[in-house]
Amino acid sequence: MRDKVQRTSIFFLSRASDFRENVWAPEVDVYRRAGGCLVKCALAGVRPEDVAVSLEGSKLTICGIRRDPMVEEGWEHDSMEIPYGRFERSLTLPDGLQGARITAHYRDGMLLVRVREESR
Amino acid sequence: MSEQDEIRTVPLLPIKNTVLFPHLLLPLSIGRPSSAAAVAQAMAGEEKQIVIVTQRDVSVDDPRQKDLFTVGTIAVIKKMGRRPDGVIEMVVHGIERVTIVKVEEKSGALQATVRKVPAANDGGAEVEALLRAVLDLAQQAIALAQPQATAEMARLMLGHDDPLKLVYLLGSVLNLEVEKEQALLEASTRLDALRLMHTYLSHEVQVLELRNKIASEAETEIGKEQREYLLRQQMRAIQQELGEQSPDQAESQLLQDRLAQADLPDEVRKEGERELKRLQKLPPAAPDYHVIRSYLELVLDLPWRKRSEETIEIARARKVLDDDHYDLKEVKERILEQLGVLKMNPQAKAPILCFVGPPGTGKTSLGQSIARAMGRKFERMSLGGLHDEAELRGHRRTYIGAMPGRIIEAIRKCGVNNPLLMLDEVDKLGQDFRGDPASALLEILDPEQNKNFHDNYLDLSFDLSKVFFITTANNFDTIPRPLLDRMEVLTLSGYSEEEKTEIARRYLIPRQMSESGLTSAQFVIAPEALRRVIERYTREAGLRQLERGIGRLAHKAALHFAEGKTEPVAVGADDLAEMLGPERFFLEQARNEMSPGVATGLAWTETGGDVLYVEAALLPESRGLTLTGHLGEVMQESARAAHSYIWSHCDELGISRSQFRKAGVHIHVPAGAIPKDGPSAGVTMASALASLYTEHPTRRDTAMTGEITLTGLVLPIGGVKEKVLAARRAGLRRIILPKENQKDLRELPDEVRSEMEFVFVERVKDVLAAAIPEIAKQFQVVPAA
Ligand SMILES: Nc1ncnc2c1ncn2[C@@H]1O[C@H](COP(=O)(O)OP(=O)(O)OP(=O)(O)O)[C@@H](O)[C@H]1O
Ligand SMILES: [Mg+2]
Repeated sequence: MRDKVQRTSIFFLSRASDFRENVWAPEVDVYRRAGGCLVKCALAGVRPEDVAVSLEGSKLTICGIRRDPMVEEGWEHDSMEIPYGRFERSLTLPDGLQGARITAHYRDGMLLVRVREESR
Repeated sequence: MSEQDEIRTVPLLPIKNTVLFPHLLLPLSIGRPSSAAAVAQAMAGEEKQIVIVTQRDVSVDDPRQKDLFTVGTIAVIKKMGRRPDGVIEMVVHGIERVTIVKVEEKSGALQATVRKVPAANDGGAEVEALLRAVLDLAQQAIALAQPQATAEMARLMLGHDDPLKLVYLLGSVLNLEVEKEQALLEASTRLDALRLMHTYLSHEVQVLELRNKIASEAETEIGKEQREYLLRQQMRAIQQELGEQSPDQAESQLLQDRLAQADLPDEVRKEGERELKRLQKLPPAAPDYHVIRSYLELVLDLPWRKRSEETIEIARARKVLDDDHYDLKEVKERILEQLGVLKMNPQAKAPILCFVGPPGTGKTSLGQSIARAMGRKFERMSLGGLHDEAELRGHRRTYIGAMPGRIIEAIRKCGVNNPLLMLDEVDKLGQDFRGDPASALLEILDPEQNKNFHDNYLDLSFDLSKVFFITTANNFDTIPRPLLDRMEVLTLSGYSEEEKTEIARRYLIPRQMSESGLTSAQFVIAPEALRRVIERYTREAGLRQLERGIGRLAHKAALHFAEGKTEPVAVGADDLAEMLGPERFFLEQARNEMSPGVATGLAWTETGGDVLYVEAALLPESRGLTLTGHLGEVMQESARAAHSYIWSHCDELGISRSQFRKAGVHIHVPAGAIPKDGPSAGVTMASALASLYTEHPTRRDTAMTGEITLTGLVLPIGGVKEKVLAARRAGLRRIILPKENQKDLRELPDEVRSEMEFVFVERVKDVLAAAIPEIAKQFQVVPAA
């Protein structure tokens, strides 16, 4: 085994970039308007009770778990692409929204998180 | 955490040759049925967990507990799919270290009872120090092995705060022997793991240093290639272990298969194999990879030995030619002759034919027809606007973005080595052609040289001698001389109105109808309408505009039926305005009145013939000769010659010298900005001047053409057919022609010949007599009718 380092470094980068934790990150869109913003998070198939949304300073975190309940007994996977298990996604909100009020609800498989400036 | 928490039962997947470390991803292919069953069980679980343990011995196919290492990794299946052959491909993500307490069988799969054994989270000075040493060594190793990756590596390694993760990362990329990898996994403290890694890396660095030294001592190309080759081999082995075949590998495999099967000359095969070897040694990201691949594809695509079976049967060929084209008797006969020669002696060197004629006279389509008659493939390319010799012969491969030349591309496109290759527009080879146009083309066309045609890109000689070349040109005069000498010119002149009508009726209309899906019950064009299309919607020697016009009529009719209407479409002359828009040309009428100083000439242009008027005017109190109207050099010279001739024959012509001594002359040839050149306006210039000085007009119904000499001789000119047809279009019925052009009248259709009056002349005197009735009287010569 003379050539180990060379051989491996060729695909070092591709392997190394796979190095991550066992959580997946859902995709989000962020919308803005005066006095608030709306975060849309693609979380189809996640039960509402399995999601948690939290705001710490200006950091908004959405985390939870997507379970894969079998469609029916007796079915076997032929392929799987959808990420399951624990997920987590954090983003920093625009200035001026720290400590804002957040509400979340589901629509068509999207989790909609509304962040509103505290009206005083 | 209680004891209970740490023990659980998970489906077990034994793997060979590699170890899964926590925190890392690993792609796997699963073929064994027991493994597939374990995957199915894992997938059915909420968390999709599976425990992955490496086999001690790769040769065991149905491993029991004793065949497995005792420490493995719990993993989560991230992705999976099944290949058509049933093999499961999946990606697993290592979570944490476990020891295997018990292995048993459950519904066709192995199942393990496992206990978590997290490595001790030890720290301290020793761990710190070792960590630094390991980082150091790792960087050295990378620098030695692949200097360009150093920066990226450093970033990645420093990004991990946990020494254990770093060790696992290095362990997975170093491709250590399985036993070493397993030892890393089994290390139960960070210190142990770092110690092991340090040992492995030191060894690695030593080996690399030694090897680099040897390499630099014997720095030969072969050494480098050998090393790359080894690397390739090993990478492939790894990919095989992982059940992967990378796309580039599949690609080079495909090329290899094609190469093995292709029917190639030895020399070509050798070159192909050499390039393939180079390709296989390169990573696909290398810039050269694609260069070599495209090159190999070209070599494999080229028809080195593939030819279409030629079927020369003269009777059939004649029928094909007649089916496709009206008339063109001489050209067709010449082609049939050549086919006859080829049939008797397939080795005969075909002369290079060159079709010369105005646009739309059937040069290209005749070529297609010949190909059909011979059973060869047809391909055409234009030489017009070609700026660089390399476009013909290609660029050397050392050029960035190099490509083969157009000749080789054309051959590749037809897929046989004996096509009929038509090179259009030889007369339009760029003047700014870099390199020598004539010699580049000559090498391609010359049967002596093209057996070993050399394209710079291909860099192998390709035999073009089986190709049947035909070139085309609109203008004879601008074909480079050396080329012209090697070619046999066949002229396709323009068509008369009657011929156009015939061609339209027999060829163009049926063709356009079948293209639009019309039957003869659905669509007719009245003869009167066709005539009007020819006369008022087109002005051309060939058939382009006419074909387009007919096409538009057919499309309109097709639309009519497509809209659901059913009554047949009969196109009458009065429908044209609506279907084709307003008339575009009016019959060029001969001038109604000819004042002294004007004469009617005939010109030949690339697009056919044209009537042109030469006007001469006196410029009192000035001197010399002024010429305007975009006249070329040659035409200006004939104007001067005409002027000198008239002056030197003043007395004979009854011109009063004293009257004109103080006046200059201005000759103008109107009709737009079209550049005019050629010697054939000589007689017209002379007539205009004679008319001006004698103050007698030329005949209104007479057009003339011919070159003159200072001594008063009239020399023959070219393009007789086009000129006569143009005169006729303009309503002129009498034409003065050089005697020597009499033979060219054969080319004219009978109805044209019988309708026109021709006056053949040998001397300028005869021209003037025929053109200016008053002068005829003076000469008392009766012009020959
Ligand atoms: N004698 C003929 N009989 C039947 N159809 C003809 C004849 N001459 C020309 N055509 C038709 O006229 C059309 C124009 O001809 P083609 O394209 O061959 O012209 P070309 O001489 O190659 O012109 P260019 O110099 O512009 O390339 C074609 O559809 C062709 O079939
Ligand atoms: Mg053409």
